[in-house]
Amino acid sequence: MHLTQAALRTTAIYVVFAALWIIFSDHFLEALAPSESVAPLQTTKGLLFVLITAVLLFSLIKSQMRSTFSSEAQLRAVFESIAEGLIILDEYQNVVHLNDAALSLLGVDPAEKSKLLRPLQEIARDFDLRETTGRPAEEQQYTAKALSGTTIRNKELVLHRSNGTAVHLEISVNPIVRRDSHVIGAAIVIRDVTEMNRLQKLRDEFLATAAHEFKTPLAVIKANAQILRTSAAKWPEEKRNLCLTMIDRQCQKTNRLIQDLLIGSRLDRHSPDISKTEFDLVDLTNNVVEGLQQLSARHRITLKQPPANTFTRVEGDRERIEQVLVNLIENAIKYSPAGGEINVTLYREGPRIWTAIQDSGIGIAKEKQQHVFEKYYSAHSGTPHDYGGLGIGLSLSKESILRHGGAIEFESKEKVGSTFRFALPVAHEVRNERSA
Amino acid sequence: MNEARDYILVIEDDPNLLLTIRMILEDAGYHVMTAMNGLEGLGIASSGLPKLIVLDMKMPVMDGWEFARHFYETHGRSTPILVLTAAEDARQRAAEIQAPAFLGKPFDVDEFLALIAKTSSNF
Repeated sequence: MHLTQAALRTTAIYVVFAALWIIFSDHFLEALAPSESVAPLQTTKGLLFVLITAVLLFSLIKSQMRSTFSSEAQLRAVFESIAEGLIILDEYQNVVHLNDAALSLLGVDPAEKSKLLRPLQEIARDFDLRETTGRPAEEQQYTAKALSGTTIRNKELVLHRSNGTAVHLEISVNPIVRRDSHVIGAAIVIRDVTEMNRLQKLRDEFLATAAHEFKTPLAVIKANAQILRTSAAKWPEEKRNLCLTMIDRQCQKTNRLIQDLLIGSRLDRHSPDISKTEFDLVDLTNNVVEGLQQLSARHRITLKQPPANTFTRVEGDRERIEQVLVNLIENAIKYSPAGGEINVTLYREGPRIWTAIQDSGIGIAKEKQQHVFEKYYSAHSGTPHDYGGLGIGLSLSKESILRHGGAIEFESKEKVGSTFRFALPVAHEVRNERSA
Repeated sequence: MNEARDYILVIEDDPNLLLTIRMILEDAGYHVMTAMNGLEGLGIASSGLPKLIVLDMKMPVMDGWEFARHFYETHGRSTPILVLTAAEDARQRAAEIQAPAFLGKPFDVDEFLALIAKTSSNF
């Protein structure tokens, strides 16, 4: 209902009843009482009237205030508790409210809040807000539009904070429209989308890399299939079988790639339980090293074992630990020049057995080291040493080791090399009295 | 010492693809030398220039871009390079090193051989 209309109606009803009361009560009194006592009676009647209207006024105001305070309390609770930043402007573009989320997004101390209750124009000067293109953003352009009744939705802007960081913000500006259709201000909603953008970018890169990875096995399969159909007709059986073997192996490789993709996306949601068996870590490492050495004649992989009577059995998922070893040694091979040495050392330290894999390869840049175990992160992507791959090997390895109650760490220096090492708890020695 | 200009140098880090390409080229009558990264490729080329280089771009130790840079510096532009790449835009990759020919993976064997013949005869 129109504001004035509602007020008018209530007032009109009051006026009518009050007038009727006054008119009829006077006549009523005259008819009822003797003329000498009319005057004091009229005064009493008048005072009674005042009393009644005062009570009415009092309860009316009180109930209105109560409902205003309740609405205010609800709004305040919402305002302060939501995660998005909220800034309320009045119709003259003065900032009248800001919530704590807005303050933290803008990088302002909550204690300094009152300093921001100024015209938007003035505040905007203190903040380096830009369009995604890099051009400075014209904040007032958006707020002015909103104040004229248009809602601005999901505008992406970048805030460059004084400490050098850049925050990606998604901003919406909504006009605040009173029931009488009067625009009394604007509400600015700010969301931090930096992390979401980063994850989306990682995902896109991951998919592009994955697609890229399939092309080489496909090239081998296609070429060999074509060869077999045409020129290989005159080849000896041995040579033709080689083509068939290559096709088969590349299909297996493609399948493994697909598995990796699936594991990559499953890592967060569901970690399968590890099956536990007891096995000798030195034996396993020996096997892995032998197998990988064959694959890369260009590198020398050496294995240094602990002294002969050391207890080196562990309890865990043999296949997973094997995967970790293969991952780490393959990485060492991949990122080392041909002819490099890769040293694998096993040693006991208290209740744990450590495996260290050292290479003299290209190393990992210092600023990238903190991300090395992240899912999809590839320390060398986009560099001359981008060898492709899905970037999930190390994050899978870390996950596996941690689930075994172990630890994994590394040191690396660019152009010098890297050493990755992991520890596993030794199997309960109590059951094996004969070993040291 | 390789006899100059009578062989094709194939530089590709995937050993299976490398072997497949060798088979295709040898069957078509070419002499072939292979390398698994740019550094090895430079080594082979320095003891006798090939008549054509088939070059993969993404390789460890030394990639296609760096190989091209070093190769041009040492030997000039006399040897044509055919860029073989899994990248979406093979043409772009070739343009980046001013290579006269390019082919995407996976490729058609006949197309590959036709391109080899055309590229080596044009130079």
